[in-house]
Amino acid sequence: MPRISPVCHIIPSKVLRHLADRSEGAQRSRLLDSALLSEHLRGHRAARSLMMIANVTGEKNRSIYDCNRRSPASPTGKLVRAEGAGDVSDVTVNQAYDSTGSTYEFYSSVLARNSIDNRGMRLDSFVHYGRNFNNAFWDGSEMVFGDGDGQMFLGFAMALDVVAHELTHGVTQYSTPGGLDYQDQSGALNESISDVFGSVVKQWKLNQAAKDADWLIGAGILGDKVGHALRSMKDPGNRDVTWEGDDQPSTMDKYVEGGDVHTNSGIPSHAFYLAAMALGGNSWDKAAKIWYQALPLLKSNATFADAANATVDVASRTFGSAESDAVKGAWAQVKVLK
Amino acid sequence: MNIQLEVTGGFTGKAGKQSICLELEKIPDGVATEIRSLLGSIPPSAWGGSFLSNHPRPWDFKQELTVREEGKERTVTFHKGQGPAELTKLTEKILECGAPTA
Repeated sequence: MPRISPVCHIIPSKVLRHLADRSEGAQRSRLLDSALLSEHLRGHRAARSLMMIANVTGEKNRSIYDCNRRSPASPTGKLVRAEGAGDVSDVTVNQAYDSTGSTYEFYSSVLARNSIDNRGMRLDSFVHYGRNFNNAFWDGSEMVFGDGDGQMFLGFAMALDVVAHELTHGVTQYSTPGGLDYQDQSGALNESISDVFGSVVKQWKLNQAAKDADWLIGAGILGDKVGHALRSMKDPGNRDVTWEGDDQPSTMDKYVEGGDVHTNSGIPSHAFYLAAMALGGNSWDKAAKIWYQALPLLKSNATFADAANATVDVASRTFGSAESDAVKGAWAQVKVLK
Repeated sequence: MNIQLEVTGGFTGKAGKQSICLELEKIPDGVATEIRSLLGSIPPSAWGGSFLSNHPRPWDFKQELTVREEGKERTVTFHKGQGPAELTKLTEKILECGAPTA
């Protein structure tokens, strides 16, 4: 059973920063997280609900359900693997179990986050959703994966970045006050943040430095004749490395007014790539922490510029001027900042 | 009569667009009759409209329903659960009986 400590961290940010200055590693990160949140709460009444965040020490609690190719409006299915149970004969079930586990471990060990809601939320996944269902989605409380039609898509639960992408929609939902509206720039940010952590979790699992990563989203889930991946954070819109319908812009010069969230997400995703490359090392050492800590600073209708300013602010406070300049430079290259 | 429902969203966006196309003359009479009835119950003012959530979430798939009959075409765009209740009932019926074509 998870151990729950009913302690709310309502400590002045000055005190938290003072403590952080005298700490190292994960403890320093946690204290800086708390300081940022504390400052944020003072300025945003909408975030008051976050004051209920408690210091919960949880454990992974995964459940995988089989929809048996049905597609009801609210996913239902038979429980086929619960936390701690061994492999089953269904490979898709095991892949969903393993990938949600890896994503949980990333958030826990790298970002000191306790599951999706930071309070030990269960990780429920529904696999084999629908017939030939070419999609995966977060439904507000659980992850849902189709099997693909075998031609356009070969499946979804098999790809760690896809699973991490969907789980991150939940993290965004619980981290940004009111969630990020899934339309316009806030929607593109919502998609981008899921792609960012989808890629970072994959890199982390592979212990791969930023410069060695492929920065592709959904590599291997498309049919051979369709393409290699769904999106590229390194080179948005390059159909040679993705697929023939890739219409992602990489800079604001090609921003699509009123465009789909999966289209314009190319811009902030490319900014993350540029930041991670400029910062060097592993993407999760600094870049991912900066993006993650910026989430509570965003409003539900946040623009790209809001995200840029939030990440520059976090980089400056958490790391220093060199990191802040690197993040600012990345957003300038995609022409969100000047 | 030709009825087309396109559903877009989720991880794949337009790459995984679900497209269901029904030719009412080619499906069982009972189902066709039910769909015609549901279609007839949709307020005429809904056609040509857009019923999107003010604060959409990642699970709000965008749906576009197009009806073609005798050279005329009617379309309505909506998020699930938005717009007239009859639209939701019709969509559920189409999703229930339609075979994916894309």
